[in-house]
This record gives sequence, structure tokens and C-alpha cells, in this order.
Amino acid sequence: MISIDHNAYCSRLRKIDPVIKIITALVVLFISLIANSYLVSLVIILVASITIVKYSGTSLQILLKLMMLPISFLILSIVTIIFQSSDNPNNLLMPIKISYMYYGFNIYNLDFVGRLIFRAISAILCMYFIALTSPMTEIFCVLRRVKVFKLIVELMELIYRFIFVLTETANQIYIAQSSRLGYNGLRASYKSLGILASMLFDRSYKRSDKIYIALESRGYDGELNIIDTEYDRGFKYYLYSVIFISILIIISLLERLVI
Amino acid sequence: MSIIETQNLCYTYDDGTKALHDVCIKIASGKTTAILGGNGAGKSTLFLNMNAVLTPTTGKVLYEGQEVNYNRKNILEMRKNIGLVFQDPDDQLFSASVRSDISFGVSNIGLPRDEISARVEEVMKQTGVDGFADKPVHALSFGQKKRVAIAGVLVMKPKVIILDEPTAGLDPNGVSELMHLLLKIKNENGVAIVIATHDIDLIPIYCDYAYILNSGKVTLEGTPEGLFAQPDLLRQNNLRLTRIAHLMEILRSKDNIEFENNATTISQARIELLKVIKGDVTFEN
Repeated sequence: MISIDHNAYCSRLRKIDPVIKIITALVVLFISLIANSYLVSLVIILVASITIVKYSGTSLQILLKLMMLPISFLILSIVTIIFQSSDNPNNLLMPIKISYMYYGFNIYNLDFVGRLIFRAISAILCMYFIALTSPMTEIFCVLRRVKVFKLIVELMELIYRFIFVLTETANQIYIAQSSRLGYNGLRASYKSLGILASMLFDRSYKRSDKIYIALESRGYDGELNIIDTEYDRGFKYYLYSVIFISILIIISLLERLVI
Repeated sequence: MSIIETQNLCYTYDDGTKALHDVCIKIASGKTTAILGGNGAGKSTLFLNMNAVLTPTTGKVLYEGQEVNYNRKNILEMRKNIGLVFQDPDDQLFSASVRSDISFGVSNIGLPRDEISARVEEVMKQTGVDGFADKPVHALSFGQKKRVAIAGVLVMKPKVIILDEPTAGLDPNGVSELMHLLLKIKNENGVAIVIATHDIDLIPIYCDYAYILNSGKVTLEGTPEGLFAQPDLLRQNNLRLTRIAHLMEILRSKDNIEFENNATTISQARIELLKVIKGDVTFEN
């Protein structure tokens, strides 16, 4: 999570208005799901990867690593879809007979699974495009601009900020404990972990008090009024977005007509 | 002229702890005032009384010679004019975005958007935050966070900036950079600066006046020259001389070297020592 965060802040596409990025990514995601075609998914996968690696500046290595996690889930779910039992070995690829039944890969499902893999990967890349080019702080701006309930955005903002403070505090407590052999053996580990949890709670409570006072002394009146960053809202980004989406729609329509 | 004044200020917390007792202090405008005191001496409580987050139990707080009126509008005005910078910047910075956090105080004043942006940019330049404005707050160093915290207060154009232990946790380089930044702010914006500190060596270099707070009472006050001329009183209050003043004291008492004036800083000591070396003052052995 923290590595995605870091890449987003370093992204070269960061200054582009996040609204354009998010809407484009969501529309593309939607088209990919509806079209359910190899070609459309392939185009999305290529364009998204190239944008992330070449234009945003995330290294290919990091992108591949990030893809490993969802892909491993994908593989597990695919296995459960195509691995089936049957009494007729002709339905199955590489059937294995165990007592009266045959077990193997269902050939009729292969096309379905192929489309599923392509759709899933293109959808994941759409989401990674948002995550790797727009830091959380920019996502909050978008939420404020599209008039999401203010309280929710404020909460999200505070939670995001203090996740880092909390992990840092937890880490310090953990180091302090382990340097005094707090995690030596199972019994000590359980005890130390309990202390760590209760200390974190205690500190968070005290800190919330202090933050409230700090906010108050800067004129807090029940709302976190802040201004948002100015973004690059160049016409060309809208144009790119519209062109790409139109190409995807045309491809999917042509494919339907041909078949 | 004093911009903030407290008269017989007492503050008792809800649980009965008497945090402040008959505190009378004056903060001069455009000057740096130091509040010295150990942990639990009541410094933080005093600061919160000064910017109207806490209301005195008895006694008065005067702002620009007027007794503070604790109605909503006036309280907001007080908080705008008296900025408070906390010791731990993590207690103060609530947003992960540097720009958003700095804009908070000034957005609460209700200025037009362009004015807010202009002020935020100006303050970021003045405090040197502009170099890391695009980084998230959690990726900043302690000293950088401290600067952002100061910028977030400065952006409201306060007349007084109160800093709780501004140098705590900074490396020596960071301390001198921060103190220079504060001097610059004081000279450019003409604000009064109040700092709580343990660092006695900072007092003669950066401060114009100092109060010593002990168990909620002001036990000693004066200009740095005045205070360091009374080493015994300082020691009674668990404080010490600056390193240089201590050296001068030893030279005087153990080696019988007579100095014309007291010296508390390196530059003062240099002048006095040169006088002795060049023979303007006699060396009695």
C-alpha cells in the first residue's frame, strides 16, 4: 500500500486534473466489462500499461509486482471454474479417472475463462492507473468536488493522515519492546502485543485531544475548510480521453457486427 | 506596547489541578519573549489561555489593552491574531497534503479563494516549504514538518506567534535554521514571538525578555542581561547560566580575572576577553 502511495506522489501525470483520470478510467473499465472481448481488453491492457510505465514513470518491475497479487487470486479462481468432474472423459482435457468419475479441465469453459482473464487484467490495470497516478490527497479533492457528503471526506482525510502516524507509533513501540526482549517466546509475544495494542489506543486518544485543540486554535468551526490544488485541465487530456474511449467503442461494435 | 497581558491569571482544571496561579506577564509587540519552565510548569496551559482556547478561572487576559471578551466572534478573532505552534507537528498537521494543511487556518477566516492561494504560496516561500510542497506530510522529516506547522499558523497573518518548544527534537543545524526563520518572520512581519524552551543558551541570542514559570507561578522575570547577572536566583529556579556565562563566572571567581561587563554570548565574551588580553583591564593574581 505504501509503495503504491509513493509511486502516486512521484507520478509524472500527477498534475493532470484527477477528475479526468478517474472518469476516463471508470468509463474504460465499464466498456471492458460490457464488451467482454479479447481485442478490447488487449487494447486496454496495452494502453494502460504503456501509460503507467512510460508516461507516469512507474517502473515495469513495480507494475509487474503489483500485478502478481491480483493475478494469483485470478489463477486460483480460474482453477475452481475449469476443474470439473464428469462421467464422460470426452468433455474433459487431460481427464484423470478416480473411482467412477473423471476429473479434468472442462473444454467448453476455456473460452469463457480466457475472456474472464483478459477482462479481469484490463479492469485491474484501470484501477492501478488511478492508484498509481493520483495520490489519495487528490482523490479527496475529487470527492469534495463531486459533492460527496463532507463529513465522509473529512473522515477519510483524517484517517489517511493518521494511518501513517499510527503505524509509525506502533513501529516505535514494537522496536522498544523487542529491544528489551519483549518478543522472546510465545508468552512474552502475546503479552507485548497486548500492551502495544492498548498503548496505541491510549496514545490515539490523547493525540485526538491535542489535535482538536490545535484545530481549534487555528479557528476550527466544525468544518475542515481547505483549498484544493490547482490542476492542469488542458483540453488535450479531454481529447485523448474521448479519442481512446471512442476507439474502444468502435472496436467492440465492429467485433459484434463481424461475428 | 504590550500586545498580550495577563493579570493575576489563575487556571484550575476540571479535576482540581491548579495549573496557573496569579500569573502576570506582558508580551511586547515585535519582540521575542521566552517562557522558561520545566515539564508540568504550566506553560501549555498559559498558552491556551493566551489564545482563548481556555477561559481563565479567575484573572484577566488583555489583548491590545482590551479585556478579552469570550463571545464566539471575538474568540475566532483572538485565534486568528494569536497563532499557536505545537511541539509535535504530528499533533497539528491533520492533512496529508502540505498545501491543504497550510490553507486550513486562512480558509476559516473566509477570504476569497484567490487571496487564500496567494497567501499560501507567499508563506510557503517565506518558510522554505515550497521545496517540498508536493510531498505528502508523512514523507517529510521532523524539521520539515515543523516548518509546515509554522507556515500553517503564519498564513493567518497573526500578530503573535506562540511556539511550544520549537527547538525540541531538532539537530543543532535545524535549531539555528529554525531560530533564524523565526527572526526573519519577526522582522518581516513585525509579529511578537513567544517561545517556551528549555534551551537556556538560546535566550541571550534570540530573546528580548524572559519569564520563568515554576509550578504555575512566575518566579523570576527580566531581560536576559538582568537574569544572567543573578546566577544564584537562576539556580534556585532549577536553571543554569549559559555555557559562556558559566565560563566567565569561573574565570572571575577562581582565576580573579575582572571583567568590565557580564558576558552571556560568544560575541560578548570575545569583546570582554579581548579587553583583558590587550591589557585594558588589569589582571590581578
